[in-house]
Amino acid sequence: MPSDESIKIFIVEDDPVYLKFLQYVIGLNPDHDIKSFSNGNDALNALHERPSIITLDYSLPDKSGEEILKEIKDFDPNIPVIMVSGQEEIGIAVQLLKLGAYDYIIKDEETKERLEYALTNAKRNISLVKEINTLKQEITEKYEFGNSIIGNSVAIKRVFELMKKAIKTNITISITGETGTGKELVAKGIHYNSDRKNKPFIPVNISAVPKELIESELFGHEKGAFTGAVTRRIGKFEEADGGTIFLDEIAEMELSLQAKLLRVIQEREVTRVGGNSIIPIDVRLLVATHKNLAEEVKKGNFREDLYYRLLGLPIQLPPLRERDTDIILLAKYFLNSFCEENDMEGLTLSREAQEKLLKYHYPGNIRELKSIVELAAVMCNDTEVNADDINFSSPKSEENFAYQELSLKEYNDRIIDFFLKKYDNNVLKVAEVLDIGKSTIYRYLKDKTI
Amino acid sequence: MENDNRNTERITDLSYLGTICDGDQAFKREMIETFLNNTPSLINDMKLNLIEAEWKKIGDIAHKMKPSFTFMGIQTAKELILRIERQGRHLENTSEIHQMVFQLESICNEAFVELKEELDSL
Repeated sequence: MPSDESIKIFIVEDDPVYLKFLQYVIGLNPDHDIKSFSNGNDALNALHERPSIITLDYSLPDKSGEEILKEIKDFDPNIPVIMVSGQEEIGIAVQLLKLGAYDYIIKDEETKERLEYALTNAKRNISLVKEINTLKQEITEKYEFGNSIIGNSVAIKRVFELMKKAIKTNITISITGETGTGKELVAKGIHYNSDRKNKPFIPVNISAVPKELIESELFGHEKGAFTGAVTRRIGKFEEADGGTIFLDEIAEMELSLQAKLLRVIQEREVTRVGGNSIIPIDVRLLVATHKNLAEEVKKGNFREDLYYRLLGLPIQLPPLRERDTDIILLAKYFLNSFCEENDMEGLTLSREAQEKLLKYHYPGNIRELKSIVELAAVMCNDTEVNADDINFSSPKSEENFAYQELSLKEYNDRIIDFFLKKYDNNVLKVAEVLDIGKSTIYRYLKDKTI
Repeated sequence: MENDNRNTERITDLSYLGTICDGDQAFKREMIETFLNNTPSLINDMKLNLIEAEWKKIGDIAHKMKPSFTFMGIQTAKELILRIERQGRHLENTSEIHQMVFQLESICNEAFVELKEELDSL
């Protein structure tokens, strides 16, 4: 009775003595669920039973091992087929391995050990393939729109609509938005929901790669192409073949490289640095920038022809301050994630904390909100995050100032308060710095006391 | 001493099979029984193909027999089987094949006796 952990193994062998031997050796592991066949056709007809591994004799009465191997590989190229043969000709072994045989074992006095070794390796591979498939599935689920991009504001719903259009075609997508608005997340969302989801997603941040290396990074290089090129290396475009390449901060690309990129996009082929071979590529292109590319074209920093090539379907990501209550949805999401990751008790956001979060401007967008919430979770001494736990420390605080939308009196009071603290309640000094009368400050202090 | 003499004269050597069995006498018995049941019909097929001069078929049968002779440790037949396989498949010196098949049958008959004795002792 096969267990849940059992691995179905087909043995295809017409010699009764050798069949007994294979059954014995493979059956030594109780997890192996063995099914035996004395000819190729019977085995092929049973492939729907989905064997995990097949051991296949090369010389069978009805068909050659080569024919059977081809048919198995046509049915499912992932089934490891271990050839077990009395043929000692190297040419046959090489041919079978080229056709996709997992291993080639000669029937001799070392067969038992070799077979056990091959089975162990094949099972490890099966387990790795399963793990990869599970991870792929997890990634796909993770990047489903609803799971990866949180929000139900009008602004983000507009983005979802565009993303839905983007996944249906291979059109180039240009994603724009301020820093921290989630451009890479949107790019991943498009890739992992498109037909290319089982192929690579290769992100490249143009501004993060040194200028002298970017060409070889993107297009690869041949051995000896430049000092330090000790081996051939494929570029990101080749790496992404069949999948998607995401060029972030595209506006930072130098003009000389822009010409080469334009050629790659037009011709759908790359040439490695220092090489002559033309390599065809099948890659979907997604680009992103926080800059206004049209402005960069006007300034002469970006090629106009490339701009039109890249524009494709433009997706403008809204800044967080324009996403209304998404701020709270995101804050709660980050709070929960942080607590889970750090084995902390779940925390909630107090009403005052939510109000404080909603009033802020977020120049660093979602990235900034995440760090604010995480810091609040650390600072919090209760099961509820309070307004006092929330600290805004953006380096662009002068921009935030106006976005808090306070009354003029409130702004005045805040300014006076700030300088009083700064100058240790020295009213004379504060009056001098702000160029106002001391009485104004005393009046403020009096109102505050009341 | 008497035992040693007996070993040197024997055609079969089950030490390799013994290593595989690792003490599993039931499996050892199964292997020997399967060999005894299977091999005579293969020899017979070879002889029938001799009549039809189907040299390639004879070569193929020899190829199929080869591994089971390894289990039974019938070293004296090993070179003979390889020659039948090669000459039959490549149609080389086919006139020799007739004699080689009968020589193989003779070795097998001796081996069968020894293997039956082995079965009785298990």
